[in-house]
Amino acid sequence: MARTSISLQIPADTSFVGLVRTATLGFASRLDFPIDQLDELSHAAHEMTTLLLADTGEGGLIDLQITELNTETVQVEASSQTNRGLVPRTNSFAWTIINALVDSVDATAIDGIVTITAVRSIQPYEPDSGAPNNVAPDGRTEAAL
Amino acid sequence: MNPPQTTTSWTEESKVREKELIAILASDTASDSEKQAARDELVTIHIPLVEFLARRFRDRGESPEDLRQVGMIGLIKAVDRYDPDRGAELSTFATPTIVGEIKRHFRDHGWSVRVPRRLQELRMKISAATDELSQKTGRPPTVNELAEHLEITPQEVVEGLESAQAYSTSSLDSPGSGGGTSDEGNATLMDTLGDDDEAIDLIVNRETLRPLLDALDDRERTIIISRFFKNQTQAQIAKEVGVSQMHVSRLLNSALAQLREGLEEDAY
Repeated sequence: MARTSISLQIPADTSFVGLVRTATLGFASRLDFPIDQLDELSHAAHEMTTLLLADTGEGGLIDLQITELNTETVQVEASSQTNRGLVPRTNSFAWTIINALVDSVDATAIDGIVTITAVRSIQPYEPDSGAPNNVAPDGRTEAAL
Repeated sequence: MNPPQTTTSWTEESKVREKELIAILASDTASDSEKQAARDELVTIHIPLVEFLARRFRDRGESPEDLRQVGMIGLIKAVDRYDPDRGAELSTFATPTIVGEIKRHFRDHGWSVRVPRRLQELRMKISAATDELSQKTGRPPTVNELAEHLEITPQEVVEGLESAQAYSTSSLDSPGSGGGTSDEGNATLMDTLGDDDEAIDLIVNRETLRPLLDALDDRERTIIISRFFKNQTQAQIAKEVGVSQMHVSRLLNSALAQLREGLEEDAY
């Protein structure tokens, strides 16, 4: 059976990056991601697009493909024809951010087209690993904030 | 500004107790633990003041819980800075600090685009439901669970989550809100980072990154470091910082927007 997937093409302009987040959020919400993980996947898609945007010329386009790899895993692929045709440095801050937000991220550069591919699966929660609770800013717990 | 008359905790008895506690804080003979207990009790006594002031800002698209949280931060700052020798009552002294903290919250995290009231209300409902379901299950809910709980469609939940993002992008347009606002003793970035230094050193552009991190406000900086350098989850950070997971998400979003502007050309 073909994998479920959506494609989106946006102008290389920051004002369109919000659409990437919206598309990622809407698509991945079909799977059972807890909302913090859903939010992070859309954060990652935003960062990937912004990273490409930094080296995509005016009038350029950024392609995005979001794919459901299985019932617990989503892949986001962003690509564009960039000025330098270089993959981003893996020790840059932006890459560090994306890497922290997804399970794996990789980049290729072929004939000037740079593609960043990120994959994230639903992560189980450890018992008591951190549902928000009612801790006051000064550490007291009795005040129901 | 007087506290509301309806609060039962604001009685003559409370005022007497407040004076006793302030005396303990100013005392040379009280132990650190006695002073800490006095400080905590002073804060607790004034929680109704925070609630009263936070209510003045209701119906402006922010959840009462979040307003109460930021108001509490103002209250704690005021208690720590209060000097009885200056003559003002603590409640009089604390009011502008609490209101200032709430206003700063609106300034830093207010709606950056016109979001219909329906969506603002939806976002608040989702935030409250997220907290409630998280308490029950020990993890943040899924979109489907939120939809079922709120008796709305999953698509509506997604709309609400999207509107939360619109809510937080205003910091893109505002100058760094940090730096001068470091009220917790002007901690330098080095102090804050501590053991995380090694992780940050792995990033080549740390010399660019550090001043940018330093320009964030203390809470945003803590959240960025916890999430990206200590690998904590949003839920864990929410627990530590004492705010909701959706609030952590918004702070992450605004902090990343600020950092992104300074690091645009750095990645290649």
